Amino acid sequence: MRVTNNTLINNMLRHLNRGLSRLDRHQQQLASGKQILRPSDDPAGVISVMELRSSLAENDQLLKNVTGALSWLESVDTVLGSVTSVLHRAKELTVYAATGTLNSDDRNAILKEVEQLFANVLELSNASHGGRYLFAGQKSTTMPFQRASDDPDSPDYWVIKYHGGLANQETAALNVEINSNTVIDLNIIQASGTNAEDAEDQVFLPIFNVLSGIIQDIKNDDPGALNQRLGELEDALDGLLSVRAEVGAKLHRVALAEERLKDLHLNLNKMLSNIQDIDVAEAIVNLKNEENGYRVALAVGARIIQPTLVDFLN
Amino acid sequence: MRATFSGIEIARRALQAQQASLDTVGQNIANANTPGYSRQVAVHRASQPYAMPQFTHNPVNGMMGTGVEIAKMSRMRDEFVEMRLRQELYNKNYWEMISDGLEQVEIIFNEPGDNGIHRALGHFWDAWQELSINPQSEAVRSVVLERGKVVASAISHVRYQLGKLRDNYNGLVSIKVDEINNYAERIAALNRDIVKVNAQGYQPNDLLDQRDQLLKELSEIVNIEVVVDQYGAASVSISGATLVQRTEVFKLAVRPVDPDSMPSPPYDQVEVVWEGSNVKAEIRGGELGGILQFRDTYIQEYIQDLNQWTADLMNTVNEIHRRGYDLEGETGQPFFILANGPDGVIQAGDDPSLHIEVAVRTPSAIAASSQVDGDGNVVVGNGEIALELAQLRHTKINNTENTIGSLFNAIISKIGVDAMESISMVENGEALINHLENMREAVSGVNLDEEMADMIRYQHAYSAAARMMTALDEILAIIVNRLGLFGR
Repeated sequence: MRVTNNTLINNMLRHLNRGLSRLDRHQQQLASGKQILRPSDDPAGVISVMELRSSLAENDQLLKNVTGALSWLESVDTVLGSVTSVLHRAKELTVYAATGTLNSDDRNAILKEVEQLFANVLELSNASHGGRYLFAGQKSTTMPFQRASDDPDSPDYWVIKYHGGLANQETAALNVEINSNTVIDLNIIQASGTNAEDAEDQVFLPIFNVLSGIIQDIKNDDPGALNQRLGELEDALDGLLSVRAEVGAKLHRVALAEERLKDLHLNLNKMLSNIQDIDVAEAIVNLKNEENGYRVALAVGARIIQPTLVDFLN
Repeated sequence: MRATFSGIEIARRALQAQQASLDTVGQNIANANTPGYSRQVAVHRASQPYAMPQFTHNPVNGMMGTGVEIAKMSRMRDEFVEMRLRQELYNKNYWEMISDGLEQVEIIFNEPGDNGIHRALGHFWDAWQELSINPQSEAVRSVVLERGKVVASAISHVRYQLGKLRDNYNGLVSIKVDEINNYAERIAALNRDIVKVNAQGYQPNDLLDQRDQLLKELSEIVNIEVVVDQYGAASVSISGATLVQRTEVFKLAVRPVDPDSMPSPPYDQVEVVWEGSNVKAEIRGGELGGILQFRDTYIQEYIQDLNQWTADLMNTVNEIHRRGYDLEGETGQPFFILANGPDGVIQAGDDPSLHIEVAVRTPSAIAASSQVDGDGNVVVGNGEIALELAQLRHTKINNTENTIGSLFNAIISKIGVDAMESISMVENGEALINHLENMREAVSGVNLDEEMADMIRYQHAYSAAARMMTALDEILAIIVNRLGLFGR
């Protein structure tokens, strides 16, 4: 094939241009740290990148959910623990009051303390976490346990009504997603009824009933009845224990989910990095390679396009 | 017996022929870098000999040479390569227009990026998730509202930009049609000159080069076929319909598309017709072909796909949101609506300038709860609706295996595949054109070394012929000046 000066120059320019555009691409990849910069670079890879990013974002959100659920359940457990100690103290006091050898001053002192314990449990049952009542179900801004009367002299003062969400009205569940499509109900109060007047809660209301009974019995100075109350207290403690076991099981489940999500986070990041990120060592070697190629093309070009026969004719 | 002065005549012819060749070398060197220039060669030929007049016929003596003449000025050109080059040019430029457009589409979508629809949507689902846990929180509600607005504006922005891009390509059509008409006029004018010069028996080499260059440039804009008739006039046709016939030009024109045959979504679309007959022109290649193809097929599909996807998103989100109750106990409200447009959601055939926005105006109007109590008051701690919306991230919709996110990914994937195809088509075209340009250059290009060698060759021949002339001069001088001195 006949080669002309223009063929040489055009070919050289074309090769230089190609070399430059490859250099530019390597440089862009190195600067951004990514090997996929736009969909046409690798359509299948881009979809994987987008799916993985989406999974990663979801995973991060689920981790947030799980962390929140953990601290919520820990608060619940702490509260229930405190209630347990209160009940133990109430038991001691009841045993003491049931001996029947107390004078009225001692009885009054015990009465005052049991009343305090009652108020204590009431306070604990209305504990909140991040602005939401722990035991109110979905009615998270309504104080769940309220005295039927605010008048300390009224017998209703010692009657507690439950104003929180009701399981049979589907306002109890506190669902948190801890895994794709897996939700966990953080609420442990599965109360039922039609409204606050007849709402039955299996955790706190029995405790309030026992405590208010003890208060009544101490006021009546009835050691026999108080002895019976000991059995009821025992039952309440057992009930509390089983609720705490349930909380513990939920904590365990959420903690497992957290571990799984953390593992997944690592795996997803690794997979994303595999598809999306450049191998820096390889990219630098490639860049150097291209750079050399470019230099050689320049040097050769400069040599071959310079001389013509004109240079040698006198 | 030769004539006394025949040697001078031979030397003169030699001088003229060498000079003509030297001039050609000069012309070639001068045009070494002229686009479309074809190398010329002055073809030498021994001029008509004659039989020497003699008394007795003796064939051994043969015929008398009369020197040299220039048979023709040859124009080095391979018509087949030229034709292939034109074909590849309109092919490559067709894909180049599409590839340019697709690159812009990729930039408009900006995926995978930190500011695209995909990322905005992810944040949107996150916010609902957060709200499902803290449905009573005004702060979280505000976040949902803001993230919703980001999604709406990201979608509206992409839709608007796609519409703009389509309008830009639509606007290019009439510019390219004007260019084609301009080229056609110039080719027809050259046809007239070339036929005239041919008729006078001359070779219009440089005019032919000019016309070939125009044909080449025209084939970058539109697919053309070229036929040269016996008089040297080139006829140009586009997909079989004549654009230039000898000196006559049949122009193209643009006109608005008939509203009845408007595509969906409709816009001020123009089509290319033959002026005069108003028949639609069939444009299959070149820049104009690429522009039409990109406008009518590629971007049209993306707009429809995005419309469809936006409709799916609005429908799915609104359907769930309508079932929920806001903090005031209101229900049945959509989350996304069309801005200053008709009620409902975007249709596949809607104009891309139609914006979507968030219908919910205040944080408390977000319907996160699925329950109202007996008094009609909302259960504020209920986040079931928010949870359902958050789960859209991995919920399959419309009885398909696709989530909203994966449907969007499918659009991006389609664009990526289309763009990759167009880029490789352009690269293939460039490689072919390079090859053809090299082949063309091999035949028609000017090699300076070759010209220099020729220059030396003709220079020597010229010197020799001149020397011949002086030798004859001396001989004649002897005859004229020195003979016949006898008797003086």
